[in-house]
Amino acid sequence: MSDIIEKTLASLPKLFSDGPRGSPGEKTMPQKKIMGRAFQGFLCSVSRCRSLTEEKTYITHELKQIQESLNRTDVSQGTVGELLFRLIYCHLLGYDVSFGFIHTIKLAQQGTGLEKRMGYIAAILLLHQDHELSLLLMNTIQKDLQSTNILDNCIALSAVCHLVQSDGGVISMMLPLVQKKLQHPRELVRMRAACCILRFIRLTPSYQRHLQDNCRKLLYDKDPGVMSIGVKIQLQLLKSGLQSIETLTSDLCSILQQIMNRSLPSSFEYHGIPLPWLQIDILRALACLGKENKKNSESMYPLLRDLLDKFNTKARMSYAVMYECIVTITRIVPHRALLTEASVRVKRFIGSTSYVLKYIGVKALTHLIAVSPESITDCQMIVVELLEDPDPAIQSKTVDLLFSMANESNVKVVCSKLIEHLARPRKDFSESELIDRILTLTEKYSLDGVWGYDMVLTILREERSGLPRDMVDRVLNQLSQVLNYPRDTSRQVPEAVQSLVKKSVQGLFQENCSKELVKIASWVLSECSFLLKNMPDDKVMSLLQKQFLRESLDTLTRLWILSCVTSLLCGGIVQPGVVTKAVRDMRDRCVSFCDTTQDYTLLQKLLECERLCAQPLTVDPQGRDLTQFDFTLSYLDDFVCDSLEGETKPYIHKNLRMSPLKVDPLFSGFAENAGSGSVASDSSGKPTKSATSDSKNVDLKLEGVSRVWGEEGFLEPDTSVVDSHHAESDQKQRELEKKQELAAALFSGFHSQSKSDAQDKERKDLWSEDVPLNLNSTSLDWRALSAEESERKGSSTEEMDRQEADRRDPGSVLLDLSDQEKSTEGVLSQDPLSVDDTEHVQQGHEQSCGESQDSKTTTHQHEQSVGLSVNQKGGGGIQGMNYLSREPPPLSFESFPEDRIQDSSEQFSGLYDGVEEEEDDDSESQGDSVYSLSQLDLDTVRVRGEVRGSGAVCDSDSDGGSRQGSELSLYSQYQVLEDSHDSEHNEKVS
Amino acid sequence: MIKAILVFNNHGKPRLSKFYQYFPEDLQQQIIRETFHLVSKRDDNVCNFLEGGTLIGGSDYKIIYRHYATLFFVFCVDSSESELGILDLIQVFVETLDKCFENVCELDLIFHVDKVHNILSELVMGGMVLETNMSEILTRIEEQSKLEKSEGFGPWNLKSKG
Repeated sequence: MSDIIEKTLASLPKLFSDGPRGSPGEKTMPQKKIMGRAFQGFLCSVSRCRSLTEEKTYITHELKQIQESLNRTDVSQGTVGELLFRLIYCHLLGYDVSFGFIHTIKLAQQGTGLEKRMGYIAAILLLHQDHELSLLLMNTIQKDLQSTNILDNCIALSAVCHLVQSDGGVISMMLPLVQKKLQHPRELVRMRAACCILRFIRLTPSYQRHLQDNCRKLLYDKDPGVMSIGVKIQLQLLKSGLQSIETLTSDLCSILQQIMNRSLPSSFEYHGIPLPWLQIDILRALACLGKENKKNSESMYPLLRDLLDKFNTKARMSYAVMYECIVTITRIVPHRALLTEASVRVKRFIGSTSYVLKYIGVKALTHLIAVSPESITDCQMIVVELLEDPDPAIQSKTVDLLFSMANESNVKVVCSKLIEHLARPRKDFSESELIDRILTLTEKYSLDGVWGYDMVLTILREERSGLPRDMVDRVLNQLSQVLNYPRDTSRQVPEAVQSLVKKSVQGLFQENCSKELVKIASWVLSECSFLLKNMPDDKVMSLLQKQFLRESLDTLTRLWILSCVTSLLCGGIVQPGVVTKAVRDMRDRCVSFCDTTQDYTLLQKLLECERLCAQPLTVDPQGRDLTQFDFTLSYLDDFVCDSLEGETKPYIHKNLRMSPLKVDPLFSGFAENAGSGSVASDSSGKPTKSATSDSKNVDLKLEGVSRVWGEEGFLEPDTSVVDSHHAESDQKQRELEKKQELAAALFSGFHSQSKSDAQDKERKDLWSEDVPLNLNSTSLDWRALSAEESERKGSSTEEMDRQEADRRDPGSVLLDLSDQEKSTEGVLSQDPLSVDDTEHVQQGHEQSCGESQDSKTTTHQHEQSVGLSVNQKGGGGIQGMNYLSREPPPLSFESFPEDRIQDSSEQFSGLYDGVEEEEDDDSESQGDSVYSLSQLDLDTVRVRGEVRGSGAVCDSDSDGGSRQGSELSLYSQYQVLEDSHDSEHNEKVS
Repeated sequence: MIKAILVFNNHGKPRLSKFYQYFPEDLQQQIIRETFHLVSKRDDNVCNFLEGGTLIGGSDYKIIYRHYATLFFVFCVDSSESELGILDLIQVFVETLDKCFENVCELDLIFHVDKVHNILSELVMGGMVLETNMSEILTRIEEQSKLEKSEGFGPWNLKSKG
């Protein structure tokens, strides 16, 4: 039916478009019908256009007609209004309708009632605040503001809100009129006036003081609508930090209280919630007020608790208010109980099946984690799953969450996750934001400089468009801290520097790396040119030359390469002859591929290089100028001879004293220090070792991380998950384990990061693969080295054991060592040397592990036995050893004496200070035991468990309750920890 | 602040656009197209929020949308707005339209542009949420048309000049 009407209507515009020239239709027919139909007909014909070009020709034609009609003097205002709405439709489709702007203003000015309104609406739609014509409307607006017609007032206020610009005196001209309207008897006028005030405050903050009284009164308006705008204004004032009214908190609280008590008319309820939008605004304002203000915060606590308790409805709007409430709780001075409440709600959000609520939940969690890191422990598995969520919006929010939960112990895992996300297709700006975040993390938690550099190299492995602008500077700044070691002492070049150079060379071998990488790598090479001495100079040059001749590089990057060449030349690393040849070649090629526009900067620099080759000016690689002085000191020869004859020791030059540097400046340090250096181990790409560098941080910031282990326990939900999944198929088990590993790595100080390490390995293998540096073979073969090291690991553990034990009881060492060696064979349970207690513990352990893990349990037994045997040999007195133990025995510890536990834990903590240093050195030998701060806390607990294991007598329970509770919960995490250790071990084995 | 309100149909044809922040006309068209591409690609069972529009404001910019039958209602906002609040504001807007036009359909939006913009100006003013109470909005719209009628106006009609 409607189709038929449309078709008949469609024929009308043609009639009409011919009409105006002859006898205009509007004079003969009743105007209402004609105009309405004409408009509809116009729309119909536009929508019936088959193609874009057809539409275009039709509309251009139509626009011409409209322009002609508008310019005629005899058209009525109603016609103008109708024509203007045609223009608006054309504008919507993207056509230029600027000729009609002036007519909108004219209509707003001259029309009355509805036409005026149409004129205004068209003007608001088509004009913008910086448009020159909008000034012409100001006079009309002023007149309409003073009118007695409410509708005129309203539409004029809307126009003020939209069209007033920040500069010039327009605001000051309008302000008195708008202020007057704040006293208008009708609430719809007051509301709009208030909205204008808000707009003014946003545009020109300098009006704030002037308007404060007005704004204050708005809060007490009897109409809730006006009041909500008043709250918005206060929020704006609070955000700009200029609000200083003391009673505001109590006022807002009482408003909120009234809303919650439903003392407002029910017409203001939305899906059963009274004024939800106003509640949101009030909560936001309270968040601003309570921030770092104890007094204000305390006055809000009961209210917020009430609010949280009252949420029981299913409406989505109530979740909006709840989210706001949670955010407020996290912003104000923290209140334990409220935060716990909030975390319960967040858990419900995040576990919801609705994606909308999940999204909000992740956001809320991001806020929550900033104040109470332990709250994440309850939902870590969910977060791990959210990382793989199909919805990119949720993914990106989860990435935000990861970023905000990074700490010293999990930063590597977090970064590797972020880099994983970088690989997914995304928009430019989010890519640069992500890279910026990774950089920030590497800066904030720069563990050794090398890891950060690794991240940077991974990011830059391919050309990216969305790099932050200051990236190169930031990276160089960070690197210069690493490179800024004391050079003039006889100390060795730090391994960090050596591996930086090595990685830079490797980076340059990539054909399609980004130009930023080329810049950074060539900077590193020129800074540490002396480390390249042992590399064949033609190799270095050909490497740089290859990069130089890549077509995608710009002049700036080429200049960086050239200055690297210069620096290598001056440092005497490369022979002038080689450089001359390369530079000539470069210049020829440069001329050939820049034939359209000669790059003179580049050519000049090349020429300089060539000249420099002819008269090489060598500089001591360590930074001193050699050419100026007679460093052989020949004039002292006689004196030296005399002295030597008098049995004085011969002088050895500083450089010569650094013998390793001489032999193999790039990698010598590595081979020697591999046993103890955490930095070198990082670059070797061996999973077990990349973690050890973390142990360096063990004694740094205890507070931040230990809090992750909350009072409520950490992995409790996961153990139940594990249990429930034991029955399921192996496949699922493995997936789950992987996720749990990730969870454990992400959410704790524990770096049982076998998964991410595997990734690390993959990534690093790329780097270490095929390095054509023909240097010292032993130091270059990283993988061989790491294998060697894993062999050595066991023995070094023994060594440490021995060192420790020697101090106390040499006799027990023997027992300990044999015990341990046998346990490596996996026959610990039959080990004749293992003490009864150990067996007891193992049984318990096996039970907890379940039958499915039979093959894996041997590892635990081994690890566990180390700890246990240490304990046993030390009897009650040795506690310093306890940090060796990685696995706690799953005991039923009610049966063990409490006082001994207390003793030993106290001693433990006392002894620990002393042990830390040793641990730094020995961390390498501990291999896969990943130490971090939170682990220390655990260790204390483990000690308790272990001492219980070795203890015999059941004693009085001194302070059981609470402590046992916390121990119970702490124990619950071991399940996951064990799993991850297992799989890690398995990986190694396979 | 709300930066823009866009309505387009399933084919990406714009049905309503209102920008509260100034963008040149061609950019406005680009924004509409980009937003349509972003929104139309999404499944129905993912969340109604979207980040990733490059044209308006980078990371401080969110698209909140709802899909009704043939129409997408999209609000482009900055980070100071509550997502869930806006989501329900869209609901309010649509419900109001529905009450005004009695079963609103796609064509109502273009055939009654003036009325739609009228409602919108009651809901949002200068990028700020003005009124969220549907019954209030409806009374005002009614009030306006009454006032206009009493003064001798009607939709598309004029004071008869003899």
